[in-house]
Amino acid sequence: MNACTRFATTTLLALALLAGCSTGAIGVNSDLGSQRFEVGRTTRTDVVDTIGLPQRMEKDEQGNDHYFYERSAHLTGMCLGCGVATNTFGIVPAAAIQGSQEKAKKNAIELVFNPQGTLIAGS
Amino acid sequence: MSRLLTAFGLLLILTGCATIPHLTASDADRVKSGKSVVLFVDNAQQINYLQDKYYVLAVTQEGSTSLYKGIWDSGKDLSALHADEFSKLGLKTRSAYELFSEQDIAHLTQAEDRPALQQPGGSGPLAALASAGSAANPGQAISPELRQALLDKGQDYLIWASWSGYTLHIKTLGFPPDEQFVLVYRVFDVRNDKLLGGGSSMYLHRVDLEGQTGKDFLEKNNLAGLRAQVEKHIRERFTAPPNATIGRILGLQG
Repeated sequence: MNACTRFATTTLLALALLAGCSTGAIGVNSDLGSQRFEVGRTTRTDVVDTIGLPQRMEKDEQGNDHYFYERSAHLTGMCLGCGVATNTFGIVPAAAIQGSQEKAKKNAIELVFNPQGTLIAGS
Repeated sequence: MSRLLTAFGLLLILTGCATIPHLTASDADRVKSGKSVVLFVDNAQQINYLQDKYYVLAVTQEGSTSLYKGIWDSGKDLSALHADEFSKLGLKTRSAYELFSEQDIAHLTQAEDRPALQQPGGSGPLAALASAGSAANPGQAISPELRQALLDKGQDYLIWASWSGYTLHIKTLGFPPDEQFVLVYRVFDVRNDKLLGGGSSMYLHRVDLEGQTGKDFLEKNNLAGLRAQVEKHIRERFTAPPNATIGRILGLQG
């Protein structure tokens, strides 16, 4: 076994162990584009049952609801050095958090429902 | 572990700051004998999700929200739930939604601009606790519009309930997920236009997601999971543990 193989094996084992540390996931749907929603037929209830609640909602002048779904969660905190044995308080880079939030908002789809709750447009 | 202890210590300190006085024994007796109405105002109207991720050299935290405004009428449901629980404590309590239409309540609560009834600034349990502490200032009362509407309906007392919103925190390094929210209560004497007292109750407990993602656990089937968790935990706060029920926190139970 050469050094390269040993490194790859160790890395894989470490990843497997760390994956085991996770106790769940938020479940933000990154594959929103593959959902088959039909304009004029799909209802708001269908959408919420399929992909959950939106991250943002706006109502327009006609009374239509605009639901915005982000494809990923955004960074809200970071603690550098927190994962090592010599624990420190770490840092929280505000710019990174702001950038992550903006990215999540831009990377979103929009679904529009009429006041009766039927899908009338999507992007 | 040290961060965990620090956070716990901070919570204890902030809990100590939340000094809304509970009702005196005589006020509690008067509230029990009079007609009271409970109004739960949900200004959060969203689920907050947090997820910690371990990257050996760093721990990151990601967040997302899910809005249920227009999908779950939490104010109506949680007002009814509270009316039921306060009735079990011996109060003659009705939900505000039994007395007023939803449009009227929306109008009356939007008209509120006094500090006693403003909702917690920011979001999350800590902001709610900090806000709860500020209500200890004297002279705070409900708005004239809301007071008159309650007087017209023959009500003596208003129990104004609000919360921080529900947060699901998914952790790393083998720690189980937890769910958290803070309930804040204020009891007003409507006839004398006076804040009698209040209190807050924090819920922070582990939750079993049953192998599902957070969104599936809470949002599937028209928010069945969220509704069930919130109802279960609020009812628990009225009955258990025996030394920290909402009735005791507000001074309504001996």
